Amino acid sequence: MHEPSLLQAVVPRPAMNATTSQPAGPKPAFANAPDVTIPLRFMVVGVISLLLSVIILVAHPEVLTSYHYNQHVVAITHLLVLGFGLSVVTGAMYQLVPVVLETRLHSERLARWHFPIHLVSVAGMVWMFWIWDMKQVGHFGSGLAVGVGLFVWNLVRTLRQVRGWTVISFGIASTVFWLVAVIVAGLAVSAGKSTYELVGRPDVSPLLALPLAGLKATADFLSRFEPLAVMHAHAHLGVLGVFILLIIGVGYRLVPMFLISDIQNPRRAWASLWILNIGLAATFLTILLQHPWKPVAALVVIAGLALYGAELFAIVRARRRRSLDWGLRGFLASQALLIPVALLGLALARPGLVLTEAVGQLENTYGFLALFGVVAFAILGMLYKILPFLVWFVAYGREVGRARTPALHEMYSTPLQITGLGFWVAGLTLGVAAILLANTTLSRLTALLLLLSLLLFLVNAGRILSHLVRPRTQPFSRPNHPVLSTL
Amino acid sequence: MSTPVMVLDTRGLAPPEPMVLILEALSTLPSGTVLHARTDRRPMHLYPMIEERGFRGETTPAPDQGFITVFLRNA
Repeated sequence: MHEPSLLQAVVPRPAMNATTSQPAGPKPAFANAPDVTIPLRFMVVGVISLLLSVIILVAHPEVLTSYHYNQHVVAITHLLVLGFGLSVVTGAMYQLVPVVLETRLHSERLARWHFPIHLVSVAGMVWMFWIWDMKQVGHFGSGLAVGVGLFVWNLVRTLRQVRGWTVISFGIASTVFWLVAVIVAGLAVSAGKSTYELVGRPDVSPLLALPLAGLKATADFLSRFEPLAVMHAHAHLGVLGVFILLIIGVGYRLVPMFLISDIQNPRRAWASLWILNIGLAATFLTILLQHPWKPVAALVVIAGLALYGAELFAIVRARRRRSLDWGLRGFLASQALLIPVALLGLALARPGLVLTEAVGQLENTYGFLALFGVVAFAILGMLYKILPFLVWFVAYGREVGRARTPALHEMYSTPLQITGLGFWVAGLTLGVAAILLANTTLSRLTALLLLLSLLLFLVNAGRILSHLVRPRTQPFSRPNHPVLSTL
Repeated sequence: MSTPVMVLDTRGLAPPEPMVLILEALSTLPSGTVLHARTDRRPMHLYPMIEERGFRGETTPAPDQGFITVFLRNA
């Protein structure tokens, strides 16, 4: 069976003649290639956002140790999930979705328009969260929704070109669904925290009166729910529905691809995604309604994660490439952190749990591990796989076979990568201690460790990106195909 | 007289190494020789690139595991 590769992210598969396995017609290698700067610009914004998040944590270490329902925590969380997570995920999806679905992106033009809208909206939202101007959060959030709308439209049109569903396309479609859901929920939360002085005044234009009335109705509806429950339900839609489901869905393609392996049990992979989707819907509702069945919903999610873990373990065990590079080790370590996160989630789902200082610390630990441990760590690990490849292909795609091109691992420093991952793991460990001990000194040390890790990542990212402006090819000086033999 | 064949085994290598090795091998392939490349995946993305370089390829599943692609110079 044909397996697409990351290469097709840059050079899409040509149309094939059904009978001869030959390309349908001559086509230059780059004729259909999407512009690689589209994913790169989203990824650069993502990494800068992560850096800013950690710098703010260094300056405000109390963000980790104080209860999370305050404006600064909410602002940093959105910088992390929208500025970093959504940016990187968006860039990666524009590049990888056509690959994993074996088709072309519906519109590159829409993707180009998406970028400035996304950038301005996220920056505005984070700033307005910081000063807690929820009306402006709503306005910038509407901009974000427009950008996401372009993105979703592009992906849905791309998905429509796909014949037959795979576990990967199902994972991506699930992510798109939950992305729309979390944006709608976020806008509703913002509407619920705004005031509507103009509603009912006779001097307001009917064009403005109608949307205002709708927003006020939304706010009135949301006032029936406990505000903290609304925020937690919204957060689960985003972290589990968008990030973790996408990591799982795309991981089912990328991990086998990088390890030269295959999905070992497709039914188990399908089941993991179905159960996670059902579990997330149940989690959202039970959190929102503060329903006593919250632990049941959590157990359903854990069942989905357990199936995913079993499949991932089987994929890794069946690999034909024995060595595990550090990017993949980082990714796998991040996925192992799903275990403590899931157990904490189950413990915090206990009905009637009273919000004490200890419970608040556990909630912070849960959020910290989910965001920095699972999502950010997984993305950083995968960026070490994806970024060198994209840059390598743009810089050297035409030179392959004509001159010696650097290997992917020669484009960055592996010792720096290992040290950076070590700092990240140390930061995660210390962060948990800082939160549980409510110690701001430890919290600042945590932020410094994470910052050091990111600076090392940036040094390596700079080395990788430098190949775009200063390619390093060398003439062949010796036989260049050591495994070649003759019959 | 049979056509000389060169064999390249790229199984177990991560992308883009198989592509690099195959294109490097094609660049020094003697005239009249065909290249048999063993790969873990069907190298669909290589077709437009080899076509640019005056080759064509045909891929069949290997009896054990992976694929065998025969690369020939265009007449």
